[in-house]
Amino acid sequence: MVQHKGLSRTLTTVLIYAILAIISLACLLPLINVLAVSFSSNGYATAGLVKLWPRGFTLGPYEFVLNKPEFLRSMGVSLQRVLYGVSLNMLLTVLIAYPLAKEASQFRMRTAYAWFFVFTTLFAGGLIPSYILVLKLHLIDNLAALVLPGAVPVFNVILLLNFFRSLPKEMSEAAYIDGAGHWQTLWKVYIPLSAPALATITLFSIVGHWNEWFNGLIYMNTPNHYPLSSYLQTVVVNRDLNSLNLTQELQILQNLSDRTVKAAQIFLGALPVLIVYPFLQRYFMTGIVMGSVKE
Amino acid sequence: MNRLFRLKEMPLHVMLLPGVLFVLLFAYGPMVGIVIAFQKFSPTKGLFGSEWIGFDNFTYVFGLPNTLNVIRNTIVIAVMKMVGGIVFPVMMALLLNEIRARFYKRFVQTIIYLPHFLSWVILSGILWDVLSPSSGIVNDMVGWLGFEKINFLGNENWFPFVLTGTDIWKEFGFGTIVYLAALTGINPALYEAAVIDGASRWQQTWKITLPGLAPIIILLTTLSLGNVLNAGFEQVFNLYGPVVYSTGDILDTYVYRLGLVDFQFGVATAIGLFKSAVSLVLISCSYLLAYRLANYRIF
Amino acid sequence: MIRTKWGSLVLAVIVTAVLVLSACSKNEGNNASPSASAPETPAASTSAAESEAASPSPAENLDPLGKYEPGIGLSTIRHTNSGMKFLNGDTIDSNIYTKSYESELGIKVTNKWVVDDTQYAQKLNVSIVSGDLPDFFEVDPKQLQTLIDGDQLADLMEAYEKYASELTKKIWGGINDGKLDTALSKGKLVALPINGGQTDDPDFIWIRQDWLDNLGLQGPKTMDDVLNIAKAFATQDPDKNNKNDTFGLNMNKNIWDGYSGITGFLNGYGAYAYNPTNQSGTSTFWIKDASGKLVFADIQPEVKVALGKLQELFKAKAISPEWATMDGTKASEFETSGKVGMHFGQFWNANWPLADMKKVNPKSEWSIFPLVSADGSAAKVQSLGYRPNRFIVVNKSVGNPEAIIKLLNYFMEKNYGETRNEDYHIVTQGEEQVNTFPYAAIGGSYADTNQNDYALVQEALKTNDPSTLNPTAKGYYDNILAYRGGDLGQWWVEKVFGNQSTYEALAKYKSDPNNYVYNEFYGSPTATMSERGSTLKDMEATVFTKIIMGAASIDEFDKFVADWKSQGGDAITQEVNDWYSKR
Repeated sequence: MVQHKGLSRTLTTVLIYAILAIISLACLLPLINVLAVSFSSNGYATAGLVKLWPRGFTLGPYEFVLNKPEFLRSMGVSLQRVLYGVSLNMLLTVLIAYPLAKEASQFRMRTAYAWFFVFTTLFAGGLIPSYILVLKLHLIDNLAALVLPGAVPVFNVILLLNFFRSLPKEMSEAAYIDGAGHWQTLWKVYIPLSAPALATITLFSIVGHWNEWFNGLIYMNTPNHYPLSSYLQTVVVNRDLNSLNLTQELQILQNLSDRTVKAAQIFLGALPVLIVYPFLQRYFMTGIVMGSVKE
Repeated sequence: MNRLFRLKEMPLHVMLLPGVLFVLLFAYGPMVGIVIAFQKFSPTKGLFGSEWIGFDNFTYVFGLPNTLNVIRNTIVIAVMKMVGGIVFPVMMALLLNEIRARFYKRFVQTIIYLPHFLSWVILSGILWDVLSPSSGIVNDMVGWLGFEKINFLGNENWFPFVLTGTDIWKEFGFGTIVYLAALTGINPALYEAAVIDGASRWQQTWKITLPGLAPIIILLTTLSLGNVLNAGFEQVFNLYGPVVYSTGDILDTYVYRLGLVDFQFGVATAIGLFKSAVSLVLISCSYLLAYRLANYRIF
Repeated sequence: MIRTKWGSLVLAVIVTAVLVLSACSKNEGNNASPSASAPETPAASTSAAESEAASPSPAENLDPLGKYEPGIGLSTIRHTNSGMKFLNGDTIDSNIYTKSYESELGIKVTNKWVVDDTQYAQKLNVSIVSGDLPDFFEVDPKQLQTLIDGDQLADLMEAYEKYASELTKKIWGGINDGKLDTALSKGKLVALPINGGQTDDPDFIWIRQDWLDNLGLQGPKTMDDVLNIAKAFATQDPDKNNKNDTFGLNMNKNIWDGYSGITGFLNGYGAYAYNPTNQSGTSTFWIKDASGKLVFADIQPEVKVALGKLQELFKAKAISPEWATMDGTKASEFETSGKVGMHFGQFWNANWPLADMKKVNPKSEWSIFPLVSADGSAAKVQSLGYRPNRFIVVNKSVGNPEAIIKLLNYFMEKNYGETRNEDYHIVTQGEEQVNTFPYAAIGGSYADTNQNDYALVQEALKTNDPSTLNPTAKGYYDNILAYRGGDLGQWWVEKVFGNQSTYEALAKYKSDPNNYVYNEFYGSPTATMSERGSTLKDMEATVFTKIIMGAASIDEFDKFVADWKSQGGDAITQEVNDWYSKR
């Protein structure tokens, strides 16, 4: 009886391990496929013969991509965007989250302020008014157009303010008794204790800026100023064969990007995020959890 | 006393000031554009010079034969995603909870977040390959199981489920985190007592773990109510086509086609406004519900 | 308490926002040199002022290529694509054209923005709606109509009549003949069509000759032959690999594409439907019925017949079940990987997507067959290129619109005139030929450039004497010889300009104007078309796709026709006929 139970227990465990292995595989396969295609020769790739392992192994696509000035240039734009955008996001997120984490008894306007920010996640003026605004501010074709309009990531603010709330009240009270003002309390008490939450929202902010492509296309005036994701969009999205005007531009058609090059660009485009991610991952659990769950 | 209290609050106002200014300018500023919803908008006449037509844009758009269908699609898809977005991460968390080998647990966790970081533009290309009836691996499996191959992306009956399934696949790893953490909050003494009582693993899961998760499940469900009209523009836009319009066209894609492809800005803004208003009502309700039922303040 | 506070806060916010916005717009008016005018930002606002300042002196100099002294500035916008190549050091902003515009015409052309082809329409839409327009730019018919409605365009009538060179007039014609009449609005010339007049765009039937040979089949003479070949390709293992893994007819979800679309198939049944999926439902095709009225081609009974035949092929598994989810690129991969043996498509299909197939799979051989009809007579083919659908328009604020005519004159002169200079057309750099003519801010061509080159190449091949060829034709000639000498990479040149080539087939189409069916409606999109077009287009795309896939019965077509009429189609038909009678 006991033995039987032990056996079924082992079986269940094996089963769970196996299920998890399959699920992990399902999440990993697409990336492997992109990788395999990017290392294959074009003939095999376009014939749909490449699955999980490169066929006709070649580094050609990478050589091609890395020698393309557009790719590296837009990578540079993206890095700049992330640098400025994330710094600004983080600064504002912290500055907003701290006051909003106060109880209404301590800060009477907090709920009004909170709704003021949350309201913007529900209503938006839409593309055209936003464009007109950026135009009137003379930010078109300027990196600022990609950084300033999204300066306040409300979702991150909510995460962080909940995290702040979950911190033991005794600490800020102690600081207050020691004569520390709000700025000092924020800087000396809250920030050091919030590393996990800060790491998490930094990652969100990085990923957000790295992947956003639409504003890049709309607000930038030349492909030289595109961030990488916007550039990739023009490369990856297939052109409308209807709009081609081919009577004269015969040669042009032939030079359109091929599939392995696309895959190489996709992979290189995702690479920075994939690299950053494991480093920040260990903060994740605590970061998100404390931010969204509070006992 | 009251003055002092206010003085004490001053630094808080100061801290908020930069954020408030940014939001005023870049979020509330463009909201002036909402007036387009009540105008026969003409680019040359601009925001304030265009002819005012009251609610004509609304009557027009709700009179279009497609609109109600699109709203229905949006709700169906969004609700399925909401349900799946709760059920699967919970199941995943329960499974992971059974794992004792820390390395393996960590490994699985790392892998399953990965899809979250890939954009739909990229994933759509991959999904097309994976789901293809002729060469896709999913259909290979369907074939092995002895079923007729399924044209997932080209069949209007399957399409909403494909959207739901792929969305869950992309996001479930990410959603698992919250539940895993909530699990760590369950008192270990409960399990010890259960083992002594001779409860099986299954019984432990059912009687202790799940009830332990119940509050957070209820909470997140409430919170997600605000998304009932958000069915995911990027995903649908990159996967749909005319053949699945009848079940796959959602409010956001509809607005996109009306607005940017067709120049009907008044109409597009009107339906966008409708969507925002419904979301506001739902978010407010969920905020109140969470506050009343779970004594939880979302923000 | 909180609620009222919140309410007043929102109010305050909105008021502030309005103030901020209006302050900003005022600011722009006062501030001539805004902070954002970094060196690389084209000074759009100043260029208009410059051109104002340099309006022609009282004693008009009507030289079509006369130079502005002092020079003027004009801003435009451009679209490029990854296939566009540049000579060393050149860019779309600075190249042989921009340099000579400035040095020879005194016109400094700056690009306000540059974008990939795929994003041009969208970005321009945003610019139009935001009122952020350059001095001159390229538009599609829908955008043209919006700009006409907004009264934003300059009248080019006088400028054209006075300044267009003989050469330009030879191609564009006078105001009321030729293609300019598509750009007339209320007696004004509001645009210059930059394409049109072309008849190179009908479909052919592209068939794998090696598959035909393997199965002992002949090329099609009737549409029934086409159906039979498609079915045979799907069932009789034409690639001899002993696997049932091939299909007969290749299609993609954008059914009106010039590659793997259904246009040619429909033409075979006397149907001339056209309503591209990715556009706004305003580029539609209209034909004359027996009573001389214009009717929408897509609701004619012939379309129903053709759709029924496609459904038959689909049910016989001769069309891939995935076609409705494949776009052109996916469909092309399907084809070049040897899964399918026939498609309908235009002359350039040899160039893309088939160009490399011969190199990868030397056994593959594609043959081109002219369209056939159901009864075996020659099919009438559909041409859209005959009517212009791209236009150059000039912003009303431009002080000297004739400058744009001069830019056009300049292009014509350097490409086709007495001072023709190959540097402005195609330049050989190292091993590759670089097209320089697409750099021009405004261009155009003789409709039959390729056709004429074909004739020249054929002549030279016959006489073995390439000495009379222009450099473009010489390039084709060399490549054909290279292909015949074993360079499989040049296969497409043979297919386009060589023997049994697409231009050989086009020459036959063109031999009799009666072979063609043109769009009889070439006015701007009508009011109802603009309003309802996209809804109707979505409905049409859905119904047609479903019928072909057998998800809807062929009789759904009748319901579609009724719906189309009742949901705005009747009004559109009325408007189109009003236009026709007034034309």
